[in-house]
Amino acid sequence: MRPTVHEQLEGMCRILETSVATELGNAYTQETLRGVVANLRMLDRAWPRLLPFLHWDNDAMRALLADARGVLTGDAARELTAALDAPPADPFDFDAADALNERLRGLLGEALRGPAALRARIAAHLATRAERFPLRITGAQPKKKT
Amino acid sequence: MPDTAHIEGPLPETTLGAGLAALLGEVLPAARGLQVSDLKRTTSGLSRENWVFEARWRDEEGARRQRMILRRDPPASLLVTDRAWEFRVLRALESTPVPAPPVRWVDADGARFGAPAMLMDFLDGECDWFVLGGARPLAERVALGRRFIDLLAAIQAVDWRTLGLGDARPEQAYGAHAELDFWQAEYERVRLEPLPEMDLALAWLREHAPVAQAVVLVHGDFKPGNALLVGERINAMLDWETAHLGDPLEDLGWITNPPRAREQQIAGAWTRAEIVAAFTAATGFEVEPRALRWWNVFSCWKLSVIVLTGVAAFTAGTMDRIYHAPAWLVQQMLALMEA
Repeated sequence: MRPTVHEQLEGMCRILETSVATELGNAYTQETLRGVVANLRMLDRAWPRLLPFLHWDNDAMRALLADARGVLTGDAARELTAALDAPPADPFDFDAADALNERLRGLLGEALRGPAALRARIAAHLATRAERFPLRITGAQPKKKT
Repeated sequence: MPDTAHIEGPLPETTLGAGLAALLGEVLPAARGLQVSDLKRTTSGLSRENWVFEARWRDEEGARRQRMILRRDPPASLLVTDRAWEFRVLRALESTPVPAPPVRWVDADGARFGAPAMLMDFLDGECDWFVLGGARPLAERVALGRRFIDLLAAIQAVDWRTLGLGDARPEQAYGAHAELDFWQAEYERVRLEPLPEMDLALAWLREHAPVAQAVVLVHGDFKPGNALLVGERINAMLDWETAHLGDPLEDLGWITNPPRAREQQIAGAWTRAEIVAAFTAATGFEVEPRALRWWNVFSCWKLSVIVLTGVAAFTAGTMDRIYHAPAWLVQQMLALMEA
């Protein structure tokens, strides 16, 4: 698969840095372009980890929400049952995993109204999730301004 | 922000330059031969467009020259704030020992430049987010850290009642819950997806909110990156757009917030404990550890809302800077809640 995704993203950074950045006349657009390049490099590092991350998060949330079945009521309870009983989607379908993630995170928010022990388990998962979250950029803040 | 404010996209420099010359004619009625030159947008400022220029004119004192800065609201900003209030704060500070930029004019509803804007004098100096961890000698950096706390004490000593910065609210209405109300409204405005970690922290903050021991002027983003330094002197504190009345521990919670330690502390020389001790000595306020931890968690939560504002603006196509979910803040926020 050449150029690989990595080669394409890195190539785009090279083009932007060597052909585009040199033509930019003002500091604002130069800084904006630096931000774009930094984000492309972050995507290059993160994209292979996104689908595994979503599967891990979805599985962990399913387990937590299974214990929240008795906690939720009304529409939230029906949505929880529907989400937990839904047939598994194609594991290679990124959009399906992403949509399920959003659906389960909404339900997890509802489950925070549950007992303290469940809330503590949810909090522990959310802390681990934040630690593993792949889309994080570093070094993009300006250091000085005059 | 006033209900009447409207915001248009970037203005061409020529339009802005002509508009500035006309504006200065009104702001400086005794000026003759007004000229605006060297107009350029600076890279600094995550929440406002900053346009720097030089104005030249003649008056009864002779030829005059002054660098100025026009801060204009962009189509999308990390902070939705009120230029009229910021102007009021800066004008009030001119009669206090707190160093801040002198302001000349404000347009809170955006009638003049297509967006709310404020005109102020440009002051010399350099802002360095990481000056405390930088290349200056250690003793100089520690002394600078102390000067920042002395400046914070000077801000908290401002007699906001006499300066007319209060409103109709009773003093008990200022503090933790008022700040949560403001930032919760912002959170609900910008949230694009379910964020259970933010909801969890919000519930914790509501449950544990401390009562303020006094009501003081709060800067709202007190950090070296907003201090204009000339050598070892703090020439001015900038970015007063989130200033408000509130709890004395709020700015201290922002300063001692663990995710910002690299900006605000010097390992082994200017630590959280030393900052708290200096604050207590300079202000006389008691620092209750649980209350300070609450303000640390609040600082993480507020900063997360600001980042989420950037996410919403970027996805709406109105901001040129790319933001992501604030996982780095959530990590530390949840750890602080556990502590």
